[in-house]
Amino acid sequence: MRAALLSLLALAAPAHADELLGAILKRLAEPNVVRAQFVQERTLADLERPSVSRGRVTVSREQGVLWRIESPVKMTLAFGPQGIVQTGADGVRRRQAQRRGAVETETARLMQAILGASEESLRATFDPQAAGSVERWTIRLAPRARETARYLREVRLGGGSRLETIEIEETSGNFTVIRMRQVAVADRLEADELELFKAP
Amino acid sequence: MTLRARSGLFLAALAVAAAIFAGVAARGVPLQTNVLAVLPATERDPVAEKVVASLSTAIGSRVILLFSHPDEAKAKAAAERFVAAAGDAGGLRVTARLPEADPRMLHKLYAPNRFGLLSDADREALASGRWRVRDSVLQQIVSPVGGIAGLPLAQDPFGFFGRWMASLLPSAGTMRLEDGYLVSRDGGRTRVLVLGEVDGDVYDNAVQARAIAAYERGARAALAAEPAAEILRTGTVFFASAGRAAAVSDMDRIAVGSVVGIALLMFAAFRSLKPIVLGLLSAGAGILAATLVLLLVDGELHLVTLAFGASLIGEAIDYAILFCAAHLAAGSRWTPQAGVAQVRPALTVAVATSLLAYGLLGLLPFPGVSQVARFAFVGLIVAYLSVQWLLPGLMTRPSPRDPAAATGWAARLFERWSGVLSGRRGAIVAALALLACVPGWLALAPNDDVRLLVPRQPELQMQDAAIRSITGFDAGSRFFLVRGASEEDVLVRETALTRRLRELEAAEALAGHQAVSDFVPPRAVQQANRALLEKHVFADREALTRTLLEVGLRAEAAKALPAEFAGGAKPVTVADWLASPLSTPFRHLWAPAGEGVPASVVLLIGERDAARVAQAGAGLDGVTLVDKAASVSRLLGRYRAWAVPGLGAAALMMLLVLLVRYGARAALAVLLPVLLAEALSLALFGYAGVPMTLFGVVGWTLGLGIGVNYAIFLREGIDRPGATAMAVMLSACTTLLGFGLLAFSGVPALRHFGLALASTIAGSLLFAPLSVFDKK
Repeated sequence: MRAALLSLLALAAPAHADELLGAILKRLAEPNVVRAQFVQERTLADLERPSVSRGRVTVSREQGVLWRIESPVKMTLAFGPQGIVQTGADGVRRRQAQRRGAVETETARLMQAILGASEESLRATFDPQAAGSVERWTIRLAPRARETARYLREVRLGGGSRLETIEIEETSGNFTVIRMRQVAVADRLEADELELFKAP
Repeated sequence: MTLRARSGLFLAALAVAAAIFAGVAARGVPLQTNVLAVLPATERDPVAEKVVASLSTAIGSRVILLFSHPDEAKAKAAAERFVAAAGDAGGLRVTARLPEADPRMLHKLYAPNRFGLLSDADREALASGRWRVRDSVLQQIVSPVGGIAGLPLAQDPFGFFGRWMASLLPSAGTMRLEDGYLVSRDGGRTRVLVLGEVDGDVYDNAVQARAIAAYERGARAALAAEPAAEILRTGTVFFASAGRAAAVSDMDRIAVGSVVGIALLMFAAFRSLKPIVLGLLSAGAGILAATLVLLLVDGELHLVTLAFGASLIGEAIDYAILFCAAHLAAGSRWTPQAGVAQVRPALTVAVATSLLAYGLLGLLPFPGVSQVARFAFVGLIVAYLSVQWLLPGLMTRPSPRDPAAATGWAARLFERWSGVLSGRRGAIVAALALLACVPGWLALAPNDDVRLLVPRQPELQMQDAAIRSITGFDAGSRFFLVRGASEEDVLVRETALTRRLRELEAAEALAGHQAVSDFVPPRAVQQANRALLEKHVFADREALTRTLLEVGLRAEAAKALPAEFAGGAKPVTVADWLASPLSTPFRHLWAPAGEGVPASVVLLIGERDAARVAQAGAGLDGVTLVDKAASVSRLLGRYRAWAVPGLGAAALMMLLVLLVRYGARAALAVLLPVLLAEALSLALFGYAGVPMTLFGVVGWTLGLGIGVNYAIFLREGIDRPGATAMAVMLSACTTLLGFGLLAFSGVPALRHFGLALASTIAGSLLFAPLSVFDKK
């Protein structure tokens, strides 16, 4: 009886986890545009102490992810379908990746997959495992392709009604934690935000 | 020598020839199926020609396959099944999963020289003067994905090396590299790319057969495992093998059709099997001799020559027909000697005019076309001799049929048709016909596209287009050849080219390219990069160290960097790169014409705007676009332009022979029917929208030689007009059956040839009575 129950549980568990993931992502993907403040802490082997940066993030389901760092340096990274457009402190826009398949394009996809909460693109890159409840959850993302696994060990997402934390663990030992707050939703991007996605 | 003895000798000679041929054939007839081999060398530059030759095998052997399935795992499984099964079969090397590039190899080759390596964007940023040490290192630190795939921060604090390395990655087209698979997802299907290479020369029959068998075996295995999978394929080998199959089936159809048709016609006319046997014997002797001579002289026989040879039955048999018609006409008065004497003048004039026409073709510098002409030359001479030396001994007894009854129908038909064309009416008909031709002539348009040589294969072309649009890859064959005085010179010139190509790639006119200078920048560029870094980054080493410390770098790391920069200044060389396993897939790009010639090849991947890509090399020293197909097309055009006046020259040569024999007025009359026929045929091409090609012109040239024969036969006559008319009609019909069937060929070039020839023959027959206007 106990064995039967256990095997039932074993069967039920992944189905349940998949359902949970679906429910979480569905909820995350509801708004067209999400804006938030973030604090990022990167722990790199070659740094004396972790680097802390602050800024705003905008996630658009259609356009991609806008990562606007305000301190300690001003820089905007627009992760769009065509790659990364970087706008430096000098206001000059640079396209980082023009070639499909390049690392930058892949990381752009990665950021969009993580922040955009699209189940399809998430599954294309990772094996996602959800745990917890719809109200308080974590998702572990293990890279599927060996190309990504070469430099990325795991990404962990956590949150409730909105995405709250992102932890990125690189194979080099580098570790990044991003915390988001003051989350607000909107219907569309502002014109100046759209501008930042455009290749120079 | 008696007639019989001479026949016996001729037969013995034939038997010897057949035995030699059997000996050659037993070792396998060397049959050349590469249609491009019909053509001469295209490049005036011998280096370019050598490179074309050495690279065409490498480029031509590529195959691209795409496996799709709604389920990703099953799409991959189908691809893997295919690879396993096709690999076992041999003949085709395929991979679904690309080998993983070892990052350590990249680091070993490049990291020690990294201060000489900069991506274009970084070089521009440094040169602009707006670049700042502090901003740059901070950006690298705070970007959530900064330096994620490159060297540790201490070794590459500004990300220069990481970005340069990223620029080395091969283009994945519109696909993504996942687990070594190139994958794309759209329309609810996952597509997995399989790349392959044919083992050997794709135009080699055996190689082709093995590769196709391996593909079919793989496809069967993949579909058996995953029935819902779909496979798309492209590559020269598929086109070549389909082209070969089409050409072979054309040949079969033409050979069978002409033999059966000719046999039926001859039997209807002669009510005996003997003329058929004699006709085929005579034509067969010609074809056997021609095949043997060319095999011994040229060493190989081109497929086109063979296709043409099959059609030559139609002309060679004309001589035997005339002989048999003379036999029928003589009735009980027949003696072989008298028969030969009767047909000899007609045959001699006919063969002389034909040889002149073919001889002119033989002067064309196309290896294939000249082989065709030599084939015709030998074949016709032997057929001509066989009528005089072989057939008389085999036809000693007179015909038992009443000559008047046997040829009466032809005499009546010819009489009636001559009546229509006699006197002023003939002139009016001719004038009206020419008038009706004018709009057709005006509508004539040339087309010299080399693809006319290849049968259209809509299904393969569709798959090729689908693969191109899904993957961004194609099995294209154009490339740039870069030459210079030295290794450095070649690399510098190549860089000028790749800069333009990158712009085209950004504009999506091109998917990508492969060039050695992408892996090994010229020494001058590496030195300039180092100078840029020296000026903008390492000029004030203390300030640099201070900044690095300020942003949080560990002290030893911040101090090590300037020291390391000061230490290493050895640029990467082509020799370093060639020595690294990283260069294995690209080695053919370097020194393609051999060690002594500094040169390189820049391969183009996925051309979407061919015209703009072709312009990329304009004005650059030492850079040539090598486009075999375009060169060949240009060449075809040149020869077509050259062949049109050649047609006129051939007519003039024939007129010379006819003048000697008949005098001015009659010579013109003998030439008139075929000239009218050519005029009508040209107009027909214009009206039907069939382009004027070199192959059409070849057809008209041959038509001129054959068509004039009918007028000659009629002019020379044999003692019964009905018998001559019958011989002419039979000759024309057999030729139409022989060549006319080519008009239905799947190969556009053969179709144009067949159409030009068949229409000329038909016209020559219709207007033939005009040649005897004065004999009434």
